[in-house]
Formats: sequence, C-alpha cells, structure tokens
Amino acid sequence: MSKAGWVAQREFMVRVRSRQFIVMTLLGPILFSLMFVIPALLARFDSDTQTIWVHDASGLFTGAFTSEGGVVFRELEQEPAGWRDSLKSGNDLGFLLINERIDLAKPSGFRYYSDQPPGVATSDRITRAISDRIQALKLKQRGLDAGFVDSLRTQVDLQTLRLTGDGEEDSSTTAATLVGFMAAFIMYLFIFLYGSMVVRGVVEEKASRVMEVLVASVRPFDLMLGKILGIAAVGLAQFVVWIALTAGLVAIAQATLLAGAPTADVPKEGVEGIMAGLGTLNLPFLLSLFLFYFISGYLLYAALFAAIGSAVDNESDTQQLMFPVTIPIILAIIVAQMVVQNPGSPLSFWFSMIPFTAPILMAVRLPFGVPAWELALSMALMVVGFLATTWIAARIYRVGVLMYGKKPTFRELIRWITYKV
Amino acid sequence: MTAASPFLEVRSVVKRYHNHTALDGVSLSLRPGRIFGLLGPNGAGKTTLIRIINQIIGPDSGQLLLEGRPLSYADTHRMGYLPEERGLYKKMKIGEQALYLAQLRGLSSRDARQQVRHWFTRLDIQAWAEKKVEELSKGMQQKVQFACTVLHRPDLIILDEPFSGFDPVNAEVLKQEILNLQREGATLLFSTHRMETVEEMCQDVALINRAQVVLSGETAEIRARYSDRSYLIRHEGPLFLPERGVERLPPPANATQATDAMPRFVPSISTQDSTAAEPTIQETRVRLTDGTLNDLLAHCIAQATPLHAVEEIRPGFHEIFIKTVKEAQP
Repeated sequence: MSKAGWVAQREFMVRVRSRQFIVMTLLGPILFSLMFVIPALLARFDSDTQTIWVHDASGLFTGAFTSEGGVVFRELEQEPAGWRDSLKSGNDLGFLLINERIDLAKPSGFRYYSDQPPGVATSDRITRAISDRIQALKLKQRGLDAGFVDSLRTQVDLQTLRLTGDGEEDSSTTAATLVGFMAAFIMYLFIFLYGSMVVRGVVEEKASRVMEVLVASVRPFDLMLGKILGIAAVGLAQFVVWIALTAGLVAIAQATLLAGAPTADVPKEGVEGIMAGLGTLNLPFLLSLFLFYFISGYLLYAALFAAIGSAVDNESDTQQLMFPVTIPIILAIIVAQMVVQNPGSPLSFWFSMIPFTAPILMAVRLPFGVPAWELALSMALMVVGFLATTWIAARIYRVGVLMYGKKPTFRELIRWITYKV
Repeated sequence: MTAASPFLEVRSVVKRYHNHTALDGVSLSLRPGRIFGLLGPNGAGKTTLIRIINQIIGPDSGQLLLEGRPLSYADTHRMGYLPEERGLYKKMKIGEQALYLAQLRGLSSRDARQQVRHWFTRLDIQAWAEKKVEELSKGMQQKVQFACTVLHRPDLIILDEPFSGFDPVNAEVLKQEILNLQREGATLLFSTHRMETVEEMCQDVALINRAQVVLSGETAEIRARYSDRSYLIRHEGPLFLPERGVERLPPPANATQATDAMPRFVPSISTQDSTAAEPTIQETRVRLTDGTLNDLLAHCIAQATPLHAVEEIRPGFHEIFIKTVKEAQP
C-alpha cells in the first residue's frame, strides 16, 4: 500500500471507531426519522374535534360556517343560559355571537368569546366565512348569482415546459427548488463538518509533536492527501449509514406506529405535485453530478483547511485563518437564494463557474437544467480548481508542519507558497 | 568499500532561510558502527542538519552520501529518528501506533507486528500495548517512542537528546539498548547538550556553532588536543613547587567540575587507605609552562612529603564546548 494509503486507513479507522462517531452516526438517523414521525403522530393523536358554537341572531349566516380540520361549527337557535361556564370544560373552543341587525354596508356586531385567545387559523376562518357571506349577500342585492361569481374565480395550474434540443420537457419548479436546496445544504454541511475535521486532525498532529516523526517517514504531500481522503471516506460512510438508517427507521415507524394513520398535515396535491416533479428529473444523472461536485468541492476546501491546520500550533488559533476561506461558502449560500429566482442569470452563471462557489451554486441550478457547455466548463474549472488549491495548500503545508511558535498571518501563509524547503 | 570509508557523508551543506543562514558549508562524516555526537549551542543549526539528513527538508547546496551513493528518499526506510520534542497520538493505543509508524517506515504488516511484539517485550511495555498514550506515565511514553524509532531495524539511528525525560533506571536500560544496537552494526548520531553522554558514549564528535562546524574529530583525540598540561597532585603535608616552569592553578569553583577530571584514569594508589589518610591529603593543581612532567615529579620526589597520586587534568567537553563557542564570539 502507498504511504498516503496507510495514512488514509489510519484516519478512517481511528475516527470510525471513536465513540463520538458512533454516537453521531446512530443519533442522526433517530433525530431525522423523528422529524418525519412526530408530525404524523401529532396529527393522529390530535384528532379530537373541537366545537365553536354559533348563535346567529340575524339569520343571515346560516350555513356560512363549514366544519373542517377538527373544528366543528354548531349553530344554536337560542343563546343558551350559562354558556360562559360550559366553555371552560370539554371540547368547546369558543362562542360566536352575531347581532340581530347587521348593516351590510358597515358590518359590525360579531363577537367571539373563548377562554384562550384564538389562533390565527381560527380567527381567519371565521372572518373569511363572514366576509364571503356578506359578499354573496351584496351580489344578490345587485342581482348577481353567487355561483357565477364563484365560477369567475378560476384556479390556474401553470405547466412549465422547457425547450430542449429534442422538443419540450416537463419541468417542475417546486421539485427543482426543493432538490436543489437540499443538495446545496448537504454540500455546505459536508464541506464544513469534514473540512473542520481535517483542520483539527492536522492541528492535533502538530500540537502533539507527532508530526516530526511522521514527516521523517512520509512526504508531507502524501500525509496531507492521506488525511483528506481518509476523512472523506469517514464522511461518505457516515452519510450512507445516515440515509440507510433513516429510511429504515421511517419505514419501520410507518409499518407500526403510524399504521392506518392519516399522513401529516401537508396538502395532498402539493406532495403529489412534488413527487410527480421529481419524476420529471433525471435522477441518476443528477445524482452523479451532485457526487462530482460533492467530492471536488470537498477536496478543494479540505486542502485549504489542511494548510490552515498546518500553520498553527493549537486549535484556538485556527478561527482567524479560517474566516477568509469560509467567505466564499457563505457567499455561495446567499447567492443561491437569488439564483433560485432566476437560474439562468449572469450572476448564477459566473458564480457557478468559480470553483469556490460552483459546488453549492451548481447544486441549486442542476435540477433546473444547465446547458451542457456550461456544465462541462464548470466541471473542468472545478478539476483545475481543486488541483490548484491542493498544490498551493501542499506548499503551505510542508512549511507549516515544521513551524512552531508565532501564529502566522494570512499574508505570511501566502508567502510560504514560494519558500524552498 | 573499505571499513574506513564513511557510512554517511555530509558535504558542504548550505541551508539559508529568508533572514538567516542555518548551515553554512557544513561537512561531517559518520563512520559505520560508531556513535557520533553532534554538539552546539541552541540555534546553531543542529536541528536543521538533522532534518536534512532525515530528508524532511532539502539543502540549498551540498551533498549527502550514504555508503558513497547520493541519499535517496527510499533511504528513509533505513533511518530511525527520535526528535527532541517527543510526541505520539494521544488517543491511539500504543500497540497500533507503533504498528502504524513501522508500516510508514516500509515494514510489511506481518514484519511490523512481529517487531512491535519483540521491542515491546524487550522494553517491558507489552502489557500496556492496548493502552492509549495519554494513560501512560511519561517514562513509559519515552520507551514507546524509542521503540517506534528502532522498530524497523534502521542502520542509521538519529537520536536528539536521547536521555531527556528518562529516570536514571530507564536511562541505563536505554543506554544498554543503544550500545546493543551499535554492537549489531547500527551507526548512531546523537544530538545532545549533555557532555557526560558525549564523553561516555560518542567515539566521534562535531561541534556546530553559528551554522559552521568549528570542531570535529575523535572524542579522545580532541580531549588530548585540548589538554593544556595541567596536573592534579595529591599529597600529604606541604608540597613546594619549583620556582620556574610551573603555574599553580586555583581549586575548582565547584564540586561538579572536579568530576570532569576523569576518575577512571586515577591510579589505584589514590584510593589506598583513603579513610585513614583522608584528613591530611591535599590537592594541588598545576600547569606546566616549561619543562616536562618528569622535571616536576623529580622536584616533588626530592621532598619528604608523601605523594599519593598524580593525574592529568583533561578538559571535559563542557570546558571544550564553552571555550570553543566563546572563542568564536565576534
């Protein structure tokens, strides 16, 4: 095995066997699957209906209130005596009182009583029901049929189609946005989580002084490469376990805890729309591109993080040097929000060409479709980019690992690139 | 090749950093199977030279030859290096750690495992193989580090301050192991500030000061060269010195300096009946400025004063070191 291989193997084994890794790897899927399971469970146990009593003295609002989503409206002929006390017990949510005389021009005289302030959803629903009915009554006064007005309010489903070389394709903006943001977020997490693991690993070797023994046996470049690759393997292993365990736990929960329960409170059409949208995306193609940007992006940043780790003697000194390196990542996340609004803008083009921001920007853009030449150029620049940062980082690293004492400034790090060792 | 040809030769090595010169034309040669002592004040360039030999860094100019061939990166597998600043992975089991370092030095997994077992047993640390470094005592860590240095059977062993951090018992164990490695044919390079280590163990020595070799040669030869014809005479009763050719030296400033006078060369009579005679035995230190020791002794013997011992006061490396470095001050 090559020396970089031995180094990578050690990095992987030591980390994978650590208690921290095992706890994180097991705890992650439990937390993720709880995110799925808890809303569904809540929806299930929260199925008791609550009642809002309505006394409409004007008689204008009969049938205006429709019961849905666990809230039932009950109309009362008479205002019952002692309703104030009855509110405090049982499933009664509140009491709506409508005055006998309602002036349609200036409607007032609606009072809602409850022992707790009503939620936004409840008060919205009541006001909407009242205003809808008033609108219908006004239309009727002018001799217009309410049904005709309803028919004026049409819901338009905009089907988005993208022109490609071989005709037109369905595309789903919602699905693309969702997938893009998820991928960008995971990329961001991966670079930061495992990049800082690289920094800590290098600093540990320097602080414990094992570095001098290591560099006598291994070339600094092999040492750096082995560390970066070993930690990448740790990250990939962790992600695979996370995805597999989360999927498994959710499946088990659905089969047992949630059997027969209604699905969480997401509008059905929305989910189906997204699922259908996902179907229009070329997932294997997308996934392999994501993986490319994942790996090249990580390598690009991990090399720089390794260089930073090599420059300092203890972990607390890393923050200041890490800041300039993290700026492009944060910038990319900010630009990504704008890119979603307009995936084809010059801004998104340039930021998806710069290797420092390309992984995150491309993750956002890819589901919307990127012209082949742009993609090819960006990927080529990405390869050039990580080779360049690895070369630069290796030159800083070989100087840094032998330097002890004063914490270097960022400018000194740059100067180290030209040093002869 | 002949036995006299050097094992490792350093030829006019120059190493400059952007604001100072660390090595300015340094040449050394290590003969096979011997222990070479590298001396010098802090910042003289010893660590730079050791790093260059270990190929951690490269010289700006100059050459390094191992058995007559230019040193190549593959030769690092033949070297063992114990840096002055000791360090191991704190949270890694010492057995695995030793295995890893042996593999990095080019041993196969099987050989590495076998060597780790051999050295851990030999140094009496086998029982701790499953422990992490942070759980071990300082002395135990030093032993692990030494084991890691020699696991791969290097034939050039570079030890920077080998005895620092060892208690006297373990220092003796280490000394015996080092001598054993030498007996088995290894060539050793010590970098040290401890002059007694140099005097006891090194056959050859070089003193580096301000990036240059200011003194080098065989240990015994250098000491003879620095001998300034000073003698210690032990006698009972008053002793009169000749009026010419002899200078009386002051007694040593402290007791430790007295031990530098190499007790092993003291003739056996000096210890005879020492308990009874001790109160009256006096020491006189002299330096011959003219004439021979025979003249001086003839003068002394002519007196009735009983003589107990006459020995040469050879300068220790402590004095040689200080003298050489001070002379070099501008």
